[in-house]
Amino acid sequence: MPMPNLSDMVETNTTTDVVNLLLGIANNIGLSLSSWNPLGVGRAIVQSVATVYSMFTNTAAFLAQGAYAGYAAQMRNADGSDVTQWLDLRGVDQYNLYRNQPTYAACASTGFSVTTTGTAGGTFQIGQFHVASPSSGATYSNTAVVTFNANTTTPCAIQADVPGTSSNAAIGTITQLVTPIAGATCSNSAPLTGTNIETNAAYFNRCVLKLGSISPSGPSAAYDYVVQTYTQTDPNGVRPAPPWQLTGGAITRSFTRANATTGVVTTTAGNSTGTVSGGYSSITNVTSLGGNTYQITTSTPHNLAAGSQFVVTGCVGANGLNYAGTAATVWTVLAYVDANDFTVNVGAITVGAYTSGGTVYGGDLGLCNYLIQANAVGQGITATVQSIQSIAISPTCTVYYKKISGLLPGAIQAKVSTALQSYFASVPVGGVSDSTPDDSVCPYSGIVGAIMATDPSITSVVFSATQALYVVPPPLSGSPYYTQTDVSMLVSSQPVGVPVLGLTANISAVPK
Amino acid sequence: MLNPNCTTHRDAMQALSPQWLQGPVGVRYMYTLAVAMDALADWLVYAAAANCPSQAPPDAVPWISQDRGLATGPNQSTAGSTSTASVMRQQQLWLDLWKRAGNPTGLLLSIRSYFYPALPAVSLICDGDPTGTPTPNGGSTWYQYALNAPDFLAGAADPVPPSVERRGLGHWNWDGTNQWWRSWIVVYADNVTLAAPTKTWGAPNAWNWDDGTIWGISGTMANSALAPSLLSRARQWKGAHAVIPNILVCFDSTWLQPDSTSMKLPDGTWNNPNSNTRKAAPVAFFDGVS
Repeated sequence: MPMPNLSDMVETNTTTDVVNLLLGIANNIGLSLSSWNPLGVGRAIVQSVATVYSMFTNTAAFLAQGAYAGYAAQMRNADGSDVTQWLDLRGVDQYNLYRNQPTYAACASTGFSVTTTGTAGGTFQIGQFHVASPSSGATYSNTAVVTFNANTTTPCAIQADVPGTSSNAAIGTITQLVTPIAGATCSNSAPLTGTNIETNAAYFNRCVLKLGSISPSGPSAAYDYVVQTYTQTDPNGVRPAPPWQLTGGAITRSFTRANATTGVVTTTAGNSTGTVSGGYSSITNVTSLGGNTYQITTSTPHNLAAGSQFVVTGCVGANGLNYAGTAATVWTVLAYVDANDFTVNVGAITVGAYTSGGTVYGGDLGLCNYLIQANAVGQGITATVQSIQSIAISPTCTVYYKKISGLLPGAIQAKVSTALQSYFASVPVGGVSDSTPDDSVCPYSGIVGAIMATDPSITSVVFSATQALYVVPPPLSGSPYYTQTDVSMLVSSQPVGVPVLGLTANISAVPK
Repeated sequence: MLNPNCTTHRDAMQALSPQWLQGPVGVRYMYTLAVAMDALADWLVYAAAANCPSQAPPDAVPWISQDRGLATGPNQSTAGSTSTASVMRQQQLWLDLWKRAGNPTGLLLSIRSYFYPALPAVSLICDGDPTGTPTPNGGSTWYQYALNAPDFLAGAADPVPPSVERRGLGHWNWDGTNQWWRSWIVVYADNVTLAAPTKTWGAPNAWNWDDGTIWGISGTMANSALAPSLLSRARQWKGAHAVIPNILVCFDSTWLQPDSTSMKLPDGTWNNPNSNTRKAAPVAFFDGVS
């Protein structure tokens, strides 16, 4: 018997289908079905066998579909969420690659503080002190023992209680004390960013990108794989851990291309929230400031802030700064001096007198660059990394939905906002192509489609003729403009833009 | 005890049935149940084997290719057709191919696979030499697969490498400059279904608006549909540093060859659409990738 088509193998049979099949076979081989009592033993056994058979067809269909990572990536639960188990198996067994797990939004003690008045708050063990964001409802707990004395502003490291982006918090939004301290207030001076579990689509894309890393000749897939994977800690500890952890969330999008006139390779990287912070630059001098403190001078802006982690490579003379693959040679910026200078406390390390050379890689973007240089760049190739540029899209539209759904306009507006955020996060760096490879747009049709798919009750979305989508900042012109067409993802003629949701105030919902 | 000669549930069912089920009705009844079990068992075996390139049904071929980072072409693995031997070998050698991503072998075989089962001649012409081997006067290096030359040999662990020829400076003179990171892909349309350009820029076959040809590529609509697929493959399989200014589809295989006369090679102005030599060339030009 020839092998059937895959499309047939992924079809399941209902019990009724199987009963009819079996009775058809019985009839064909000469059994007299008309003599079977409808409630008799013969039909009852056929019914039972058909039920079991039907259940097994589900198994067989899953087996056929799950044999391909790409097919497994498209499996959906009844509620539309990803079926992850099959792709997890394929990802590990076929590519030796694990799915990125969700991370908790968190900040160090420098990013959050509690100010007490006359009443001391006492001492709290890890996880015993709780605060919340009134706007999102997300709650957070302390990650280090903390004592709140009276009339004091006390820094406190916190972490979200629930992983994922639902606990992300902008500066100044974590203002509610869940653990009561009379007269106390709190606020975060740093944003808190977590990441969701990696989607099937993103996970499978990384699996295929990994194939590029097999070659010593450095296809662009190898660069993209490194920035999206080596920046994460390998859950099995097989791959060397990155020198430090990303602070802005996992690199989820990247795009690598060569400069046509120089051949220099540039990888444009982004995380789920947009721009990747940090930087890298050549070192021009290292000066001792006395004690264990040194000032590092760079040839171009280092883009590092106090608290940023960094490594140094290739420094001659002051070679005590060079990264030796150990945590002891991963440094932290002590203070920002100016655009091209910062200081570092090297502790007990002997630095040496600077002679020449050296590169500093710091923050999330510097980590990407360091890992690319170490794992992807071939001999004789010059490569660099840049951040994506966020292009805010603020739809001005009216969403009509069925009144019978019982949903309030605010609920629809919130759903649309979430759906647009999710859609924009799925648009690749530099946008997509409508007709030619370098169109580089966020398509208008995609935005409309994302809104329409938000909820079954939505019947239409109408953009006004003159106020459809407006883009801030405009990628090409000098002032905001209105367009009802695709939104360009070009920035200075480079396809480095990614759409992010801007203002949502002009999305209205109307029940009909 | 089960009869060791039983290979199907139908046989086993009959062997296991008691005497009172061995009559004409009993046998037929048990056969009815057993044949369904056999079908299910076959289904499970097929499901497990369907992701093997040598066993896959036609509509599974694109899924296997996708998993292995390979693209399928328009003439393979469509519903109702059968997987070609070239596609099967390509899928079996996926890791060997990916080991060559970013080098001329991987890039040219990826371009060629678009046309499977046809095996057109293809060339990669590099300014200088991407492998670092000195070329005469820093000239060009030509990697080529001849018409119908095999990509894979039966039983071989590696794909067949392209032939290599080196030429001196000026032999390949696209725009008067020599930049080692640049390469050009040439597909010779000898045995692939591609319509030759009906119009080119400039006299005597001037391009006219809405005449069925494409502005800017000196080709036809069929050529235009080809371009995105070839560009996508080039982007995936070239070295990240490599810049491919153009992909050329050549309709006269005496042109753009290492041994072509200078009249049939770029003259230093081919990057200019108004170049007289380019206008006269039987070549469709597509913008490349970087």
